[in-house]
Amino acid sequence: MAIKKIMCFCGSGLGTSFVMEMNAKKALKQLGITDVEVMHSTIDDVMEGAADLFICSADLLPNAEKAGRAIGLKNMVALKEIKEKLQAVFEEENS
Amino acid sequence: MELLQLENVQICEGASDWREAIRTAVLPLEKNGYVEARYKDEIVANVEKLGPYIVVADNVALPHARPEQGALKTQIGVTLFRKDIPFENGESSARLFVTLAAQDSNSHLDALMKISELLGDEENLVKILDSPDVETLYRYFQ
Repeated sequence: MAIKKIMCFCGSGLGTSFVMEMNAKKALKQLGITDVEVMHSTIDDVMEGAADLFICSADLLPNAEKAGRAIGLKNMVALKEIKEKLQAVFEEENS
Repeated sequence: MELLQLENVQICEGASDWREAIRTAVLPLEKNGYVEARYKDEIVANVEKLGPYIVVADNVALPHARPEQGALKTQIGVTLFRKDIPFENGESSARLFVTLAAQDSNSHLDALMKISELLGDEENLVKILDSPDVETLYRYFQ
């Protein structure tokens, strides 16, 4: 299934998730991936169908995987990690 | 950065555990009227419930909770510990605690973006962690 909507989430939905959203948007732009909506939210909004891909910190990954495809990050402020992981997901999708 | 005052920047030796570290890191904001006394306990409770999601990178924690959990005015506090503060999962630890109080969901986003860019650069982070005094630490965030 094509990834059209990405939800970044953290415990509160206003700190970490926002930083991840910014970095995800930057990373997608650098990777030349367009037409993807990126948003941020709290863990309470994570459910099946809420997004095509979830991004969160590594410790919240089990919660995300219950809802669908997910990426867990060790470093939420580093553009490099999120970019590498997004690239891997999109390459797999297009292969 | 407009949302950071020198009075909310501090350097501490260490803390007995991550709970005390969070409380210490919230204290200046509480003392200066930006958050209610319960804000620190709400953050601790969030971390107990969800794990150390506030550790956003090696050495960096971003303690924060929802506006309705006791944040009064949007403001940032910076606390640097000389000693490592380990979290319970055994993997995460932090020395720099950037405490965030947001009175709504939007007013702190510009500041957060700047902080993220500042700390996302490893060279910057190494310098910040080595700050010899409060004034130097404060200046990195300007």
